[in-house]
Amino acid sequence: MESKNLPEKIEATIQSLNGIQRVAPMPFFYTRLRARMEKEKNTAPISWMPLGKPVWLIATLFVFLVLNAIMIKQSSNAKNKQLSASETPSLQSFASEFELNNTSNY
Amino acid sequence: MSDQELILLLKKGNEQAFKVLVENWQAMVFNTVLGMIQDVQESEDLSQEVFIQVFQSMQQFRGDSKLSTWIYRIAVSKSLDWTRKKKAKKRINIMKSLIGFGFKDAEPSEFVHPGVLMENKESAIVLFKAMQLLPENQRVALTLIKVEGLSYEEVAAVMELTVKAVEALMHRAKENLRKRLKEYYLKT
Repeated sequence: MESKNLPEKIEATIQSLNGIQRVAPMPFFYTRLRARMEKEKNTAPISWMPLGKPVWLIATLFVFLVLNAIMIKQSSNAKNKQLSASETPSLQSFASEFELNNTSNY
Repeated sequence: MSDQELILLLKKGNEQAFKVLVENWQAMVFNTVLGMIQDVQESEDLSQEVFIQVFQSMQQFRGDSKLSTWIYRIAVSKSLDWTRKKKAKKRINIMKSLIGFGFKDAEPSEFVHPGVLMENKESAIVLFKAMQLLPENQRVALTLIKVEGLSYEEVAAVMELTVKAVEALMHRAKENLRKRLKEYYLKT
């Protein structure tokens, strides 16, 4: 049930900021502000560094991926060549070990 | 020192002028930020950020508005950004807690504005809580008028609106507050 004095209570609440005093920060605000500005100046990221921009980061990542793909392709090609080159000598050595490459007169 | 002289010196990077600016406007910035974000600890940090932005963007200040209006605008905009980030963080934490990856934020403690008259403290706590639920532009207008004590004309300049629009915002803000307060008092 709605209280009889509810509208007055609501209006009193809305008026509760009447006479509010402005609040100032703690003393030495300027000193703390300057200290923060100095600290931020010393630790600020180097803005001229091109890699800091997203476009350069994406481009670098792309180049890195392309180089990786080339390296993988080259190494797999080299492996295939090595495999095919190494297959013949092993067959020959196998044949010579069991004297299969000697034609028999018997 | 007039505002024009101060602006000229600030544009030249004069440190003494910056000190004068901070000392003249620190209470106004701090009080506005405090009224907007309702957090005493964070208000100091955010007020510092306001002055850092004032210092860094002084070259872009064209003098179309008063220096104080421009500083109020930065203070309001920083406060709104802070509130949005806080709300977003709260939503993420709620989601995380729902899927079991974190804990829900603790309920914020009641905000007691240090400048409120002793006899109004309890009502002001309820009012500030209800103000958090208002749409942004209504909250800005109400804070600047009720907490910072600006006139409708000054608020219109800060918010880049007409005086009529500010009056309409204030009317709607009060209507919304009445609804929220009614719900609150009927529940308690």
